[in-house]
Amino acid sequence: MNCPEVEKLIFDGETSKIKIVNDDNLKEHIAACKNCREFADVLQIESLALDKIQKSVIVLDEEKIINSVINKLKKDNSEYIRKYHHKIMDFIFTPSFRLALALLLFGLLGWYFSVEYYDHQKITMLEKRLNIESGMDLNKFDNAQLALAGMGRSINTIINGIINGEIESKDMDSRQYKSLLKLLVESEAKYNDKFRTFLQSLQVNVRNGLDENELETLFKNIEQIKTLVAANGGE
Amino acid sequence: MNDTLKNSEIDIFEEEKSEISLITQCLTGDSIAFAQLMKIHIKYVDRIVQKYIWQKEIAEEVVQEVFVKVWRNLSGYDVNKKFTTWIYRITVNCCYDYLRKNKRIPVLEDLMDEREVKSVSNSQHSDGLILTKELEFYVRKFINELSNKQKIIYTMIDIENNSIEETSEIMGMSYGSVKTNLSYARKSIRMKIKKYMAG
Repeated sequence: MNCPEVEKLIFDGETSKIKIVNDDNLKEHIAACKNCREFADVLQIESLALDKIQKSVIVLDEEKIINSVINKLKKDNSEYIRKYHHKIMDFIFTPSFRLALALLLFGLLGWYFSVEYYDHQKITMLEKRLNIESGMDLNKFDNAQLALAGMGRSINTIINGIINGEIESKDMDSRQYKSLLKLLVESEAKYNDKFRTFLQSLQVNVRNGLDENELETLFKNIEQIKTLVAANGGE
Repeated sequence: MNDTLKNSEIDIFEEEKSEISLITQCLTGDSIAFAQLMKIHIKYVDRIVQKYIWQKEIAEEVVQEVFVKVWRNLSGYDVNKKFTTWIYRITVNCCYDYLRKNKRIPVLEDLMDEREVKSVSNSQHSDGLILTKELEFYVRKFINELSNKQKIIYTMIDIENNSIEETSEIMGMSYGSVKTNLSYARKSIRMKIKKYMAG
């Protein structure tokens, strides 16, 4: 029997423990071979120590451990919530988030003022087109005949044109429109349905540039003119 | 006999059922259910941790850490597998993490005084070899002097009696690597025992 054979015979590789084998050849070899004797002794000590380690027990305070874990978990939960809040706050206060927020606010304000500005621009353009000075109403327009002369047409031609559908509101400029209104109320022309339709289409055309209030003001002015004319003996 | 077997099987089934219901309750954030689950498994975890960590306070700390990890990772537990297998893996990994992070060696001299050794009463071996507390102390010391990886592998296989396959699976290492580390660990310990014996 040689040394590797002895090693195989006495050492259980699976459990790392010494195998007690009653074999005369083995005993003979161990008695004669110093290395194998030492190996067997070492193995015996290791096996016994491992056995002892396997059986040894430290008594742990289980109740204390359970309570500590539960407390830790509760603390953990509140810490998680706190950390979560911190994360949100940290995110809010990051320069990039603040910059994005500022840009958003700037954009919203910009959009608001640009809408205001373009509305204002539209109104100004309309006022220009209608030849109305800002804040001035149609009552102030008093030289209707002169204005009509500029059109190169007589009032009757225009009224007939409107009634027959030859002239549409879009064909008239503001000056003509205002003159027409004045002359209509000054003349004996009847406010028939076609004229009303004309006014409505005019309202639609103007609607794009004026809001409801402004439109209302415009038509109030027309009514005022009519009332004025009626008071002066017209229809 | 058959009836007893059947009854024990029913008991195991009932235990597993109640364990799953406890786990389900834990998943809803029920800490009382978790305390119950801990009560069931604390002895098992204690026993494993003690094989790797020999100081009472540290062992308690690691056991706590194990259960905190169990709580945090409970949603990842596969109910089709055994809960103890899952918990075993977490425990060993916690011990390994602890040993890796804390390089300081436990004060073994103090440890020996603290330890309640309920082990072999037959310290007298057939060859007249006396296994004293001192010998256990030195073998522990030699284990402690191994690298953390070797220590864990040696403990898992030679003390915990796991197979190389199980160890490689739990440690996430190849079979060959576990075998090599085990062989180095055994060789190192045996060499030290030999030196100790020589005086």
